Amino acid sequence: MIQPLTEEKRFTLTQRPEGLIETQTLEVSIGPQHPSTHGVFRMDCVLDGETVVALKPVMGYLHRNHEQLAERMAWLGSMPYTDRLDYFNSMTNNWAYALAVEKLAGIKVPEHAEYVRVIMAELTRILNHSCVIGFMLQDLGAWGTPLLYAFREREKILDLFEAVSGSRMMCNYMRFGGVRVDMTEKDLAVARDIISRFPRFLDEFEKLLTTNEVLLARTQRVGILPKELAINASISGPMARASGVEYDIRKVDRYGVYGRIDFRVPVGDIGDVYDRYYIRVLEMRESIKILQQALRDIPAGPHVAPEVKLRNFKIPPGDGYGRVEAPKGELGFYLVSDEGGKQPYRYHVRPPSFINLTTLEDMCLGHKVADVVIILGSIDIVLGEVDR
Amino acid sequence: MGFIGKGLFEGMVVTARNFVGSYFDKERLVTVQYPEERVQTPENSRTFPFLVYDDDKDPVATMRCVACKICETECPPQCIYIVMDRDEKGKPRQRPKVFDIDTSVCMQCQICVEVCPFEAIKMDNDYEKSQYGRFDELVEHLPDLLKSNEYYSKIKPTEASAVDAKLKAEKEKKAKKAAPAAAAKPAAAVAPKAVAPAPTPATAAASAPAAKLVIPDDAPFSPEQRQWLSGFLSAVSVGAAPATGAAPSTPAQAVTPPTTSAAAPAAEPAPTAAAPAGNWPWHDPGLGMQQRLDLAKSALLADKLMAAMAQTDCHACGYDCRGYADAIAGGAESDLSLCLPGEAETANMLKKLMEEAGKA
Amino acid sequence: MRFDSRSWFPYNERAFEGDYCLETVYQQLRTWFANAPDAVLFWLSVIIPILFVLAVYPGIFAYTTLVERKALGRIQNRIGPNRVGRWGILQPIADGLKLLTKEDIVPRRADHIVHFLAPVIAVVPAILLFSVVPVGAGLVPVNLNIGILFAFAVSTASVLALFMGGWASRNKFSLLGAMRAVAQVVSYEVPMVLAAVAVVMVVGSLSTLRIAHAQSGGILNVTNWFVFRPWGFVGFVLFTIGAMAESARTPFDIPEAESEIIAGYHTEYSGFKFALFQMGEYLASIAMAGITVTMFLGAYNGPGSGPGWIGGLISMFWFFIKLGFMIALNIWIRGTWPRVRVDQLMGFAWKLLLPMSIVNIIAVGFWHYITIRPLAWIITTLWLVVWFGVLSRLAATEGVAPRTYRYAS
Repeated sequence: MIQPLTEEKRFTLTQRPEGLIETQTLEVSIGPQHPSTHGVFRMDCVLDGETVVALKPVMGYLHRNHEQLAERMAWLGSMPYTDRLDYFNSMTNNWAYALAVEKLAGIKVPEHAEYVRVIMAELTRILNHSCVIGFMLQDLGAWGTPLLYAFREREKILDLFEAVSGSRMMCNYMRFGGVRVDMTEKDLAVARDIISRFPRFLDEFEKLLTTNEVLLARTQRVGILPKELAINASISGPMARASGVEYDIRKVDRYGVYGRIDFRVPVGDIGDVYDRYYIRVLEMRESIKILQQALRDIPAGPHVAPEVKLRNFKIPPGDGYGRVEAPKGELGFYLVSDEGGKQPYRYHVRPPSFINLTTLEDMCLGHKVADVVIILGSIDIVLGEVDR
Repeated sequence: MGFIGKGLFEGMVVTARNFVGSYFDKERLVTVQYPEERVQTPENSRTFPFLVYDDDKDPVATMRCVACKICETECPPQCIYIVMDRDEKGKPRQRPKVFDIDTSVCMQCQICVEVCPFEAIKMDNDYEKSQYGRFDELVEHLPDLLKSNEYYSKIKPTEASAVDAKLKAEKEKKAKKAAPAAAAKPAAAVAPKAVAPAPTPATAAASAPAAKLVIPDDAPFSPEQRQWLSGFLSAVSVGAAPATGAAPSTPAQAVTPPTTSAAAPAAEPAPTAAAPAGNWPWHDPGLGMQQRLDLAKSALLADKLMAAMAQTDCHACGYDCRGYADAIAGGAESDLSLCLPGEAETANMLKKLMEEAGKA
Repeated sequence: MRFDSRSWFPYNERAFEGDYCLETVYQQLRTWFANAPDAVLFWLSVIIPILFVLAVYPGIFAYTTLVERKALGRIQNRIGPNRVGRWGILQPIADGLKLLTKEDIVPRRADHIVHFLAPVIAVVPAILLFSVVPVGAGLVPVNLNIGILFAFAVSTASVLALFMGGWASRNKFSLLGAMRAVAQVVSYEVPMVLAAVAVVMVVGSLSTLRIAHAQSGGILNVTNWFVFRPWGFVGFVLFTIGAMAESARTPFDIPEAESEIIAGYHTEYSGFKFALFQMGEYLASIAMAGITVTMFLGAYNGPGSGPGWIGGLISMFWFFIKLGFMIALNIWIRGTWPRVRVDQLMGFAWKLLLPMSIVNIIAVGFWHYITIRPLAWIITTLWLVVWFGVLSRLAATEGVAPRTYRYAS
């Protein structure tokens, strides 16, 4: 493992191996205002020429006191705030919180609602992965073309979200025991239509990108995350799977109705940026399969458990941890309920982006500045989640 | 850099296809040129809340909001500010004098709509709300927030028709219950104290606990007893009790507009134009706190507790006023601060009463 | 095609019978205004070509920016600018006015003189480049017999501007950008020039007019274009890549890689200085496109081009069509490919392009000395293909290939 430079070493001269030329390192701060840091995020890089010698990520520019806010509101009141955690995928955030509360309170969710939740979550996964690839390519320099193709598809899904839940991004859709409003037949038909067109878009997307020599040269063997490090640093999500860790919470926990749905989990071997990109493409294809099965098998039924109250909802004392496979990794909520039971006593979010970011330095050492940006893009962070 | 630039070439073909297709294919040119063209937002789309009124001739009088302040409490970013309208004597009218929504704070989460028991606040879908200032200009006040039911039906037809049907059904149910009681009841009679008949119906009720308790028409109760009994039963069987015998409205002190319909399936509220006739003379939101307590000087704790409340039957506490009082007296409810319209005054009085009762 | 320049073109005279070389504007004016004083006609004959260059090419630049934005927009499924004037036609004017009226911010600790001069040095060589590009049959602003040499000398001068901009800004990011830019431009000069050498060898002259004329004739004036020869095709590819790298266009836009170092060497520039940098970059790319067209795509040759007024006009038309095609190719590539990294860019230039250009020169030698045409074709093509395969294998980065993935059990 490469040791990061201590403070003293940062400003000393770097000696070349042959001892011939003595050069000076350059300390550069990438961000927080930067087109490619995916939000307000700063990286203090120490560069030797173009090579990264040390890198320190500095977060907290978007800290909004989410966890503290939840302690003063009722259980339902922090549901809209969870939308704004990973503001790109609001449905999975809602589901993770609802899952945690349901675990704590012992609420059972009707079948129909579970299927609706799975449909929404997988649609979110599709739109997240396609846009992440788009953003990564934007960082790579393809001036917006893959990004706008991805957004074109995202728009269709967002229109569906608006028709169902009322809002495109901040959906506030899941409730404890189900979902807020039901998906009508028309909405399901729209979802089927979107999914039937999506493979064609994916094929076009892949043709544009996957065998592009420039992309291959830029992303292969760059930012390798070894499997050991991934496990030790509790990396999760596509990043871990690209490094060879066979772990997908949908298969492990079998929450929702994932236990009944047949899908595979792609796993990479090397763990470089290209792997992470391609795993996401494969995951999108798997999500299409999941969606097709869910839309085919969805039963009729109530969309929310009838015994759950909206107001004055009390949970017996205890604590619990609920997690889902968010598109970015393992999103978990740790909730502690005390005697009063109307508000959480402690509310903690386990954000995947934050945990995945801790390995940024290890992945970037020895690479060039240009690679830092791409590696950051492939980790797929959203600052709302990192800073909460 | 690779043997043949095949991948590069394929990429070029894709972009070329998109370029050419953008002239012919709708799919490949997705721009909507705002503001000349607008995307049709779906029905469910939500932006900011507004208040619904039923009659164009008098919006303020026919608005459905009773200032129960449930939305203010439940709002996550606390963007709503409500002040109840009181007349010259300090008697609360069942409507807000001040209803401010700070749209720069509002998260558009729709929780206020979900928790409103009176179908009074709904989500608009107007997104062109930019103003020239950042602070006061973005706070919406009561006159701007009031929009008619026709407007609501226009923007959200399915939802509005469901709400209309529900409100109509409740009104009919209420009217049906009000009719026989009005026929049987002499007007303007001072009701005998409900103390004497209280123990008997209590035991009778205790022996027949059920979700839906209906007092048979041939049961040997006087109309006053019947009224008291059905109220008591509705409190005991929380959630599905039948309507109380509605106290008839008397000419005296008919204060409030009749549109306070309860959405909850719990006991139908005694119409807030309740007269002192009937078993609950204090059940008039027009009376002040001391007046109500004087009227409720009975030995029963539940009566005194009920008198301390705001008498709106708004279900902010989760019950109607009688039900809450009975629940506190019975020990089922320990939280004394649930009466939102009553605010701190009610909470303190309830606490005092409970302490006195505990000592006694 | 045997080509003996000496019998056809005497030094510095008209390229062929009946042409209207702009350098002979003086003589033409003399025939029209026989009685005017000499000095006046002399100065007129100097000013008219200058005015021509200054009027036409910045205008092409302005509308290239618009066309680029609209074309990129269409590639990305959106409409480009269309608010300023119908179809956005007045957009370049709006952009120019906006940049003119912006505040000119100079960092306090920047080197003011260098900061001021850098944009100027970016633009002037680009405009100078246009003076040797023939726009029509015999129509070139300055008929230099060392045209190509002049072109390369001048285009290299613009490297200075990159470095001056980066240095004078006193900004670490700008410095990074400047260093990368200089490395890139200098490395791509070499294969570019060597690719041009192939053409010069065949034509036997450095003059752009003669290179253009050497590609006339053939069926419809088309088949003689150098791009249709094996060595010419390889040279065209090499030269185009070099030209894109010279003017810092994607995929080689590292000097101004927005997503990594914001704007590279022109980060600290605002207002019209920024506009000048942009102008310099675009003009350089248009000028290099013009030189590519001259050397490989037959300059102004096309069906109907030739001497005389009508032929001259048609030849101008063909020239601008080809220029437009090259610009469109630039825009198309910009919309499609991501950027290469700086060390990969160097590797590409030195390890693949440079040897390939040397191989190309040898191929021209074969072409010239093998008298039997079909045999010359076969041998030259084989030579180039084999060497391309060898070099690309040698230069390939290890482990770069599409992969297959497994699924978890």
